[in-house]
Amino acid sequence: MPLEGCVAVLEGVYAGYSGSVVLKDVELCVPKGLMVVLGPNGSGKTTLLRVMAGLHKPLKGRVLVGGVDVYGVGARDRARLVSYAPPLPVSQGLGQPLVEFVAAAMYYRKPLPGLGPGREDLELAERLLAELGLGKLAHRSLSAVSSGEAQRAMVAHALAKKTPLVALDEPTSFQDPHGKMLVYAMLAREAEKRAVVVATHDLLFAALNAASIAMLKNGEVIAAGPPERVLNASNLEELYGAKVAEATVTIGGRRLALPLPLEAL
Amino acid sequence: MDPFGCSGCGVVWRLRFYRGLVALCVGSLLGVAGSLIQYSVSNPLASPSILGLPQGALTAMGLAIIAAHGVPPMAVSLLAASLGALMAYWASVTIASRAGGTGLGLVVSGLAVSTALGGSASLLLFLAQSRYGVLASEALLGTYAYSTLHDAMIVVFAAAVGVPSAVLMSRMLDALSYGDDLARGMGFNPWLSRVAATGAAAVMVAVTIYVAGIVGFLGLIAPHSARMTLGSQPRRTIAGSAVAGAVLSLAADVAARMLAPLAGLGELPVGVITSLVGGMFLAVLLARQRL
Repeated sequence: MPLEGCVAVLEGVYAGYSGSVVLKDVELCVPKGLMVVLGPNGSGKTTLLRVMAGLHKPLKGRVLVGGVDVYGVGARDRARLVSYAPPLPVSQGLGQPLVEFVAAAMYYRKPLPGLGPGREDLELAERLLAELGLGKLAHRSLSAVSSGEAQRAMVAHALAKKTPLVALDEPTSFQDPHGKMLVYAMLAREAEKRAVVVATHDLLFAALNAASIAMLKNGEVIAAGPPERVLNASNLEELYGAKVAEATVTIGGRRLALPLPLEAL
Repeated sequence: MDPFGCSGCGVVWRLRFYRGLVALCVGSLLGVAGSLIQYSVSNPLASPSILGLPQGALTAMGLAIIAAHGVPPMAVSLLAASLGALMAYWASVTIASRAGGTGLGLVVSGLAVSTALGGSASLLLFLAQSRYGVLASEALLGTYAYSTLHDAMIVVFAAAVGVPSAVLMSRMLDALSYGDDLARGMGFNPWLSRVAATGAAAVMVAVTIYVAGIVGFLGLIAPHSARMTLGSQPRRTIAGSAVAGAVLSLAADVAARMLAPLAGLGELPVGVITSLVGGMFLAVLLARQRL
């Protein structure tokens, strides 16, 4: 595997939780641009993203971001390398406004001592929230907005950090069609500057936007590469264990093979 | 010599002055300790007395008295009380995480820990009283009535150091309140950060136990009052709960002093008032489910 051009590299990664091994011998190069991780429920997508983001130490193997082992550095240095967003914040805080939640992402540059987010960080947060359609909700708290809105704030929080790698776990699972478009547009813009890894079940998004796709099944990468090479009926049937047909469509001058679930037709 | 003019009444005023200072500073310390705990466990129902910190501190102080066969040096008492408070916090949080890690689960496991430690503190202090003649059982229901210059100096110093330190931890507490993964993303080690916040809260609680005993629920009411009036950013809540705690504490002590003669009592411990009001406050919080 060529290591130039990889923002992040996973080398022989095994990872799991007490007793069960979830990721098995994962070798992956994450290039600059958008990488989509596909896989059925329970295939290890979340674990893969958390391992990448320095939040779950592998049992074996290494994770390098920009050549640095993310598990070999302290909390603050790790925070400079990777940014991670779960589908929703696990804990909603105690009523702090969304704009402060987003701006708080920048604490890693100067964690202690400190009173709160800086003025520039608040301005950046305000801009990100507005771009995600949350401008009017900037002073509400996470617990006072809907799941979809909280999820967009979560995306803004993760993207506020200027890290070479961003990993987002199902960032559109609670989005209505408009919210989805806003998130995707922002991800596409960010992917021009750095490596953005997105775990999702949205095959259309993967086909249209991904520079590369990694397919994860039972904790193993069964296929990885550009969509035109890996997004085909045989890979998808193996991945999801369901019969699919391939429809070739042209969208915006790009010819795509899109899977259609046969059982639903 | 006497800053208040007349010599007879000067003593009374001086004692009142110490008592007021102790009331204000104990209130600040408990309010700030409450904020530290609430943000570090991301739970608005948590407070030092709900998680058993004062009861743990008092138990440890009781043990220290018995081990020393009398009143141990101040440093020993404060160290024991701080460690006792930390152990109580650890027990409540550990039981809660085994019970599923929910917000209410923390309150229930805190109830178990604080009740058990409250019982052991009573036992140890009664033992200390009968065996070594140490009059410490007033500490079970905190009071400011016996405040001395020595007490006043300790709490003023603790508040002067503790409150600004806590305010400077605002970013860390902000990060912790969003959970461990996000706190890591913000550059904090969640475990170390929580130890720092809880350690600070434990020392503050220990100081209040040493000078006044258990003044329950101020650490719950003060942060809520601060959040409702000033905002829920940790910097505002912490600074606000220092003020709110001080005001509430002094008000409770004045109320206790005014109620005591009405009830035909010489002194009513301030802890009686704060527990009465605080318990109802917690009930309202639970019933409104504004979690």
